[in-house]
Amino acid sequence: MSIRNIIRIASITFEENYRKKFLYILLFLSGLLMVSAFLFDPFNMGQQLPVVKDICLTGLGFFGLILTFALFLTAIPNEIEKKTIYPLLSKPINRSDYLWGKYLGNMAMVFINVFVLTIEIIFLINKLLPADVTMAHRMTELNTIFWTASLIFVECGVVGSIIILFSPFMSYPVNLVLTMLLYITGNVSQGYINYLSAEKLTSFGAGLSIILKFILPNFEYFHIKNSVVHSYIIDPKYVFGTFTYGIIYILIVMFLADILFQRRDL
Amino acid sequence: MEIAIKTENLVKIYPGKGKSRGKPVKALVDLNLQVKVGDIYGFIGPNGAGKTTCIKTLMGLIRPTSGKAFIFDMVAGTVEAKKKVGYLSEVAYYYPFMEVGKLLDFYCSFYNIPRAKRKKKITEVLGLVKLSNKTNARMSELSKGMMQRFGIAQAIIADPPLLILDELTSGLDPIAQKEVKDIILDLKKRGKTIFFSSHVMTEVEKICDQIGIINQGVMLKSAGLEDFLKEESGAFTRIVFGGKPDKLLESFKEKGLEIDNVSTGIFAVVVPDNDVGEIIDTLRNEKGNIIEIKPRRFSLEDAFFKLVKERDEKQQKGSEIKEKQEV
Repeated sequence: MSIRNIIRIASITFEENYRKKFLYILLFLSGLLMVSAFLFDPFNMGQQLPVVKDICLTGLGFFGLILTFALFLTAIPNEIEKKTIYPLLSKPINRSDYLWGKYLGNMAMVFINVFVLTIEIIFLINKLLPADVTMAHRMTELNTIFWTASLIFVECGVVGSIIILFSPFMSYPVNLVLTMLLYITGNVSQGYINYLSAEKLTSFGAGLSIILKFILPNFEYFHIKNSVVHSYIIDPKYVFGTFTYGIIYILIVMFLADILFQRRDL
Repeated sequence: MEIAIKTENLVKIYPGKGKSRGKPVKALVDLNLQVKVGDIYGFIGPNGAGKTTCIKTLMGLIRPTSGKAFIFDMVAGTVEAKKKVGYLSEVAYYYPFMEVGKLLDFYCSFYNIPRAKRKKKITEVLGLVKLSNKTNARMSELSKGMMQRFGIAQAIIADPPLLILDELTSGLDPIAQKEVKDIILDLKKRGKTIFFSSHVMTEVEKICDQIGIINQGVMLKSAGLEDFLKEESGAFTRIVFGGKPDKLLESFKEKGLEIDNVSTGIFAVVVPDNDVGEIIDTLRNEKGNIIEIKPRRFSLEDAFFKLVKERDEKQQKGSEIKEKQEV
């Protein structure tokens, strides 16, 4: 792999993305949703800060996912279909460079969008905090917003890597459904799988549940929104651990995607 | 003799497509190919013959089922091998949002050429393909002919010694075809080895030193163009004659010669070289008017059809014998 080549491909992917008008519309609508939560004070029944936090962070997570699906689903299949991949792969580059370049170029776009919205949320929350609150408390509140956004970004990264894994072999709809299915399973199943492995129904069932536990991404780890909304204390170690989990998961999925993509006839 | 491209028993089998997962398709069957450095090699065959599959295998875009392919003795498709090749795909599309100069710079950057040198190269290459005035134009603004010329530009931007061009002039008008042909001849003068596929025989005949004919994944012939045409034409002479032909025609028909009516009162007959003297004597005796005596020379198109036809007939006979044996 060549870092230079990856950066070059990531740059052109990014350049291609920032010309997509729907991204700006999506960003604008998400921003509007967050501002509207701030403006509709009468409906908050005196709980404006948690309600605004809730709406903003839910919106951020939802926007991040939509953006990830929109960018990643078409990234590689479009290049294969339109044959823009041929002149590129005929240059002295590895397929791994291409795959990572595409991934990082799209993630750069997700990062910028999530970052812009996070700044907006931090600004809104800062406005809502009472003036008499201590500086330390204010910083803790704003830090938790930043951590939540970081984990949403890593979650998008995991989803993106899964889409990349499937995309050279599947049509958009099949990839969309399969990734969505994995996302939903990764959000709801961990408790159930834990229950199954604890129950030891059969040795096969228990074995299978343990394997599933390790294979399926646990998206529940990334969701610290509820704690943030209710201003619970969040352990930075937990955030760091989850961040590391996400990065390792991305690396493994991308490694598999690379193996499969190497075998793909173009 | 240095070899630019070499394949050894290259086989590519595609799995059957469709719901029923039909029969696997043999796109390449034990393909052996050699292209010498400095040659223009025309790779010809009908649609679906396996030309693009072979080229994609050479570029590492397709994995062969078995066999090996080499570019300058390096395994085809590796980064090192790709440094030596410029490639133009059959249907070339480029990022429509990019500007011509910028996109060339992007492709050139993969060869680790310093930025200042890249600028110079881009100017030079765009001049060669006559796109200098389009440096700042978006790719989406280029016509099909311009796009093809850009394709050649991106293939030669790093000055590779070998060019692999798939269906070089497909879909181009005659003027654009000529422009592209001139560029290829210019590149040949610069010492490049050029391997290109086409099904336009006249184009291949005009510019190639070597040809390879492929049909149904099988290499039917790989030879020097002149040798191939001579061999296929055989030792025959074409005699064009006029005069009072009634008796002549009758006597030629008796000899089993095929007579071609060139125009009113003018005929042509193709005779084995050994019989030329006898035919001329006959013509003189019957007061025939000899207009032209020339060794017969097939055009590439004629030779190609002859070869493919012979091959098909052989195959048909083979399958008939097989059927009979089965019965």
